[in-house]
Amino acid sequence: MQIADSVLGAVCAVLGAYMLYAASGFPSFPGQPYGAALLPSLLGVAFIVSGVLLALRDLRARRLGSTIVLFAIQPALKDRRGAISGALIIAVVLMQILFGDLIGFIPVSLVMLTVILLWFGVRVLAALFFAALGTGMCWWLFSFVLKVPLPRGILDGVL
Amino acid sequence: MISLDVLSQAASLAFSVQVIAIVIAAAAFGMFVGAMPGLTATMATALLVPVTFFMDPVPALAAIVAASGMAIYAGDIPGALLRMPGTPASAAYVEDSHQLALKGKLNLSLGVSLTVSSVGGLFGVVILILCAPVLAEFALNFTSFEFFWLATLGLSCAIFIAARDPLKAAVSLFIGLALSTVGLDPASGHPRFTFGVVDLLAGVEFVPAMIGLFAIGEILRGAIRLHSDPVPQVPPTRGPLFKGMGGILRKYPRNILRSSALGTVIGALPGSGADIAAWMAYAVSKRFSKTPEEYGKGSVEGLVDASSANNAAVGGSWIPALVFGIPGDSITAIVIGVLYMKGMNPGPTVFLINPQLIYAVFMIFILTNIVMLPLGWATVKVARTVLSVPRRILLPLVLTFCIVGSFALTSSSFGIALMLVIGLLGWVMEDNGFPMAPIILGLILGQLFERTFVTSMIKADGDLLAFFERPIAAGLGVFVFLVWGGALIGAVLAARRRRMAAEMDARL
Repeated sequence: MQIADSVLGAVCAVLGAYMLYAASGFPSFPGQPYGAALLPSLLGVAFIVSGVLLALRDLRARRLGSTIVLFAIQPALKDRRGAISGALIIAVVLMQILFGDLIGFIPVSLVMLTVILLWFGVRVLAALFFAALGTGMCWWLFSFVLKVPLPRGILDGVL
Repeated sequence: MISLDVLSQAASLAFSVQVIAIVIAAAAFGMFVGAMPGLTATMATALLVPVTFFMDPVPALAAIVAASGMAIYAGDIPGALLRMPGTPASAAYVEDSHQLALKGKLNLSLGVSLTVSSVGGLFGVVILILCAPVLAEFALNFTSFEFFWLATLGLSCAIFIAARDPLKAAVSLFIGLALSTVGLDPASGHPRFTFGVVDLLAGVEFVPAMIGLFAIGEILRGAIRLHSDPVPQVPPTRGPLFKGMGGILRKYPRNILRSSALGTVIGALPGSGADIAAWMAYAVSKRFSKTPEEYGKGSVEGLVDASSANNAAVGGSWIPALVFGIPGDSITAIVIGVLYMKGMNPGPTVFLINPQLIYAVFMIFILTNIVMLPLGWATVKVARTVLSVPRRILLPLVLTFCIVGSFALTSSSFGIALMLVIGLLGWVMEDNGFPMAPIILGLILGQLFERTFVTSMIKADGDLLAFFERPIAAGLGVFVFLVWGGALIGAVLAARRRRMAAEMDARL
């Protein structure tokens, strides 16, 4: 996703203004002019200044005759398959955040890996195999070897 | 001077069966990730961290040393075979190594980069071993004033030395610094930018952030392009790899020495790592070469220079990381995070408190650079199989690993959420020309920067001149101002040149 410098500059400036506003409510260290607000305030100013400088680039470029495109989507993302692939990656992560605790890491990972592998054009049996392999390896390494409490969910009584 | 007792302790730590096994496994992992185009050395390191989190300090650092060193070399393999650098550090000489391969000299190309990578890597390590303890002894006298300037220097270098677009690098750095302010303020304990989320009180956990920045963006990009990119045809790798290497080493000893030294220094500069070392060594090599016209068309000399420099930079970048806690590049930024997690707070005192650990790491460094030769040879031999692992299978598996790794650090899905948010932010930013390394530098150095400033001000009762009262602090401060002054003058001159060029264009 290509975003024009002027739009990015505006985002920076808004972020900077917000940081300045939020920092004004932070207490200072007793007897000191410097405290919790110092770095956020400095960063607020820095964001505003760099935002203005970024926006100026676009203005200068326009004065020199180039046209500024505010948003542009790269060709691979315009392709419907590319966009769905990208969205699926995000969906896999979201599913694990939303349902991992409830249903468990293993079922969510098995289902999502199978779905994404199938979408990527892997044949059914191979997709099932690699989904099981990926889930199994992660479970073995993290839960078994490294003792990370990966959520068991519905498999609580089984594992 | 280091005692024999410490050395024997270090050796027993470094050469245990467990550590050797981990080194070999991590090296193989680094070779694989480095050899896959699109999966970088930084990503190899980032993916390792959640696993190393659960290890003892020496095996944890051993895994990182082995994986990062191997990944930097392995990036050369797809560069030569497919004209696709496996890691950014191999980009400088990808044309040369690929042109050599096209001329039927694939083994020469890969053999040269493997041999000089190992030599350059060893050079960087020797400098690290010689310099770090001396510097550490010197740095023992440092107080918060000196550390404040060092942090400032690290942050400044991230913008001015490393970046092609300093303004965008600065914005990246500010974002990293802004992320470092999230959570309880280090001096007063006031919560900042937590938006009522309890998990954010402890700050932005750096491992999920790093996995997001260095892995999620790449996975997204890979997935989006999966259907449109053609499947590469990998040529076979046959024949002896090290044939004629003795001759090459004898022909270019000065190049190897010069570029290893240059690579070590560039690696040691905060904010610039192996990729910049390779570009600069390549440029210097071309400048002093008797055959500059061959560069880009299959120059062995350019390959020798750049390939030794990028591996030398790996050792060099550990110098400021271990001695001052200031990362030399994004990989050592990760190392510093790991050191803190292991309770080995980087800084000069680590050489006093845990010298056996540091020397064990040094030994592993040497071991890795030697093991690189047989492992690199093996990787080249299986390169065709490795590079034929379909991305449509690899990407989902790496994604699962990222999810579990981010979960592991927080033991809650909050880590995964953090990885996703920062990953998406990094993806959009990188697509728009914002570099990733300054974000992680800002995140790591932000707290040091803020803490040393506030501590210094409490000591000096708010007197800013105190930053210049101690001689070393004053020297460092002046140096920081020189970096800033030089960069500003450079920017003004560049702007003036651009304006004059534009006026010339308008007149024509």
